[in-house]
Amino acid sequence: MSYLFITFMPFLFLPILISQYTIIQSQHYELKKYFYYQPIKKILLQILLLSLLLLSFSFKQVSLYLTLISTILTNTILINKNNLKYTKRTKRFLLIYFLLTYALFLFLPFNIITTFNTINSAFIIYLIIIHILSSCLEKGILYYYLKDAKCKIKNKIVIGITGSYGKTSSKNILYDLLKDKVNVSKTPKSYNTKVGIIKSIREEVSLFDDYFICEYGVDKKGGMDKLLRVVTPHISLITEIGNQHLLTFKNIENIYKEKIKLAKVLNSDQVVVLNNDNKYLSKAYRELKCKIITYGIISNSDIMAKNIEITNKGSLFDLYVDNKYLKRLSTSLLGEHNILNILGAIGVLKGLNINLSDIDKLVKEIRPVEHRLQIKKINNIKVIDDSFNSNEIGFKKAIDILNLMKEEKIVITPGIIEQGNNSENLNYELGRYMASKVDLIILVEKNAHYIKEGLIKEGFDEKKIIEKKYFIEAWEYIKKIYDDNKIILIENDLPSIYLK
Amino acid sequence: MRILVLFGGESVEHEISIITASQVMSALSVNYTVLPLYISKENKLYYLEKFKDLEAFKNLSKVLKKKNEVSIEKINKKYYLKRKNFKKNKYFDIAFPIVHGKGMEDSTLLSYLKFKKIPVISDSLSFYALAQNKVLSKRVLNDLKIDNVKFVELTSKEEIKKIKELEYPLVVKPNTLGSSIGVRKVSDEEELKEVVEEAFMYDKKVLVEEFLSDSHEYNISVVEKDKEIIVSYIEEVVKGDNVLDYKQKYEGDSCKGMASSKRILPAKISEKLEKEIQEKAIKIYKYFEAKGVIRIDFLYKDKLYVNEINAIPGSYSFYLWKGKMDFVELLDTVIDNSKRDLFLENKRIKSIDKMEIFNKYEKSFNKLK
Repeated sequence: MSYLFITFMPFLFLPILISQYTIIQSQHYELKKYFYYQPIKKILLQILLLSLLLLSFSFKQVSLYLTLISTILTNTILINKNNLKYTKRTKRFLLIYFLLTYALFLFLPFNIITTFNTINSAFIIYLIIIHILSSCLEKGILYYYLKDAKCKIKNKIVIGITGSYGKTSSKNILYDLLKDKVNVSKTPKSYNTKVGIIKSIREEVSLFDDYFICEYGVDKKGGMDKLLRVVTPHISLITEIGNQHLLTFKNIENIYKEKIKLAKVLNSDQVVVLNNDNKYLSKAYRELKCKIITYGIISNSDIMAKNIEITNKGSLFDLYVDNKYLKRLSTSLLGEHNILNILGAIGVLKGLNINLSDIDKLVKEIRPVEHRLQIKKINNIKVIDDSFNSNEIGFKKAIDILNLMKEEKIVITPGIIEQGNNSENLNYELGRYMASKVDLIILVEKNAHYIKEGLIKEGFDEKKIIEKKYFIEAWEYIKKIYDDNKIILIENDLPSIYLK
Repeated sequence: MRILVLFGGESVEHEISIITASQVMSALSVNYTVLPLYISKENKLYYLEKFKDLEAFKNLSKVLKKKNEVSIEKINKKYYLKRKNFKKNKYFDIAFPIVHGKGMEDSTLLSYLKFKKIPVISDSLSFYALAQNKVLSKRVLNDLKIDNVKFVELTSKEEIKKIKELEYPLVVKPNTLGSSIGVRKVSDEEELKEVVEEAFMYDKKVLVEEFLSDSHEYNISVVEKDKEIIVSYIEEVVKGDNVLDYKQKYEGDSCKGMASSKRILPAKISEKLEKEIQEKAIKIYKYFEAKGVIRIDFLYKDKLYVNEINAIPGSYSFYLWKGKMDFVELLDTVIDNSKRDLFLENKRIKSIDKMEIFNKYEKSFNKLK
């Protein structure tokens, strides 16, 4: 009988466990952030319950009531509605949980009720213990994967890309340019963390590849060292130093110091490709030993674009390599920043000593990445889809491109969501920026009213601002008013499932 | 890189394949790890490190035991030789079929490997099937307006009467065999009957060609390197008034395979003829969608005729490349090309998820009801 009871025991905690683990999962398995999310009050309450329980050992009569009360309390406090993703890690976590709980019930010298009470009262602590155990296991598994990935990447030429903006675009452009000439693979989507890089090496790199394009994403001090221990590049590209993740880096100097590490690891005969238009990167040569190829639009560089012509269908420009005119290139990618990205990719090609004689054909064939300034038709509605963008500079660029269009210009956006107090000011400024360039604005969700303030400040017609609660409502509205003479910009992080 | 070399198999050219494979393996061993996989005449797969040497085949019955039998499997994106007796499985990265003749070279083995999702060197299904079929090849050659010897195809002995438009002496060839097996020259009708009967023992279709007496035979090998089709030196095969048959080709000299027939290399021919041979060879390589090293045999008498196309030539034609490329370099070229092909193949769309087709089908099916 008691064994049957024990069998069901772990399932009693399962709802609380899953709801709590969902929070840990959504915070990328970082305990620090979990505590940040869980108000201290709840944890204090748990400690209170635990001390009550300890007291109850001396007064046995109260113990039964305490069990009841504590169960109800912990359940109501801790359960919240979230969807847990059943990844392999989650499955291993649950396995550890079951094993540990059965072990406790079977081997602790208390009766079942006492054990149940203890676990229940100290549930958060119990959860953390399991989480720590599971993290140790994951570290071991990751170490095995890391060794496997290192073995796989051994004989390949690694092209490292980093920067505050334009990493993913540059990566995709470079991939498009290289894939017609050599066997090359890349980190998919925006995979750029340690786990992401290891995963993509294990899954994407084939034995028959000679090159691997690796995106290095850094969001705090020391992050680059961690990634460099996984793969060291043979050639690097640094696209831009800007103030993204300023909150964790504190100042832009630190961001520069972190990103430039990708160039400092190179030998004296290896090449780094740097954006000369960036004021930090243009001075980087002073501290670098390796060879440098610079690219830029404004400043005089090894790879340059001149006579730029930006239209609503793409761009045209003259390519100058080592101050010699090479070819006039045309691309279907929108915006000036994409010209810069193309120049960077050409710099890497030059660094790899790849023949540039047919570069015009290759550049012409570059296709935009999904949801990054991609012109397309959804339900026959003309759309510029920039829903994967999430920073202020990209936002402004998208507005500039929209401004080139001849049609009536409509924007759907929730503004920019950023941690910290800066977002009010940021969205206000964006509103002011848009006012003269857009005909109709549909605002969605939280930050909407800051943008509205900005728009009105610049004298934008208030009737032309429409507020909707959800994107789907905004989209229904668009369907009603749409005719062929309109174009819609979808800006910043909207769930793309709605678009299908 | 670990390369699995497959050879042998149920084919009349079983032994020739072993010789070619041993030559290929010794050259491959310079840059790669080689795993020899011997296919027995019953098409069973055997793996033994010893198979790299010809010595092992002198006493086959001793080696072909159940414990050496393996199967090819793809497990978790890796390719393994799975053994039956719980020994550690050997893994490999790419397969290299060196087989000759009908039932093997005619894309049978290649199809099997492709179905098992194994990456293969020189992977071109249609070319292997086409090159092995003499009648079909001749039709494509005619389509490309490349001269070949006049022929008649027979599907049964009784059809011999059809052969009136051809002039004696004639050559009889089984349709899908290679390495000159079953190929005989005949000079009158009586002999023809006898020889055709013999040829039908090898194949269901036989073709009869006019024999070009006093013709010269020229062989050339072709391969693709860095997206460019390049040709080897041209050799002239010296022969008597007879057709070069299997015995002359392989059993005449000590075991050296095709490398040992009497030949003049490079052939002493006019520049114009050399150019013509090269151009036609490149054209054939391109339009037959060939992959890897191939050998094309020409006959010359007043005019240049294409005689035969070999998808996997004996001795891998390395002797024709001496001076231009050595065997190791030739194989590297082939492997590099295959790497590129496999890379592009991986990027291609292989299946499309179209569930709505079922719905449509269901609707029309319900209507029928």
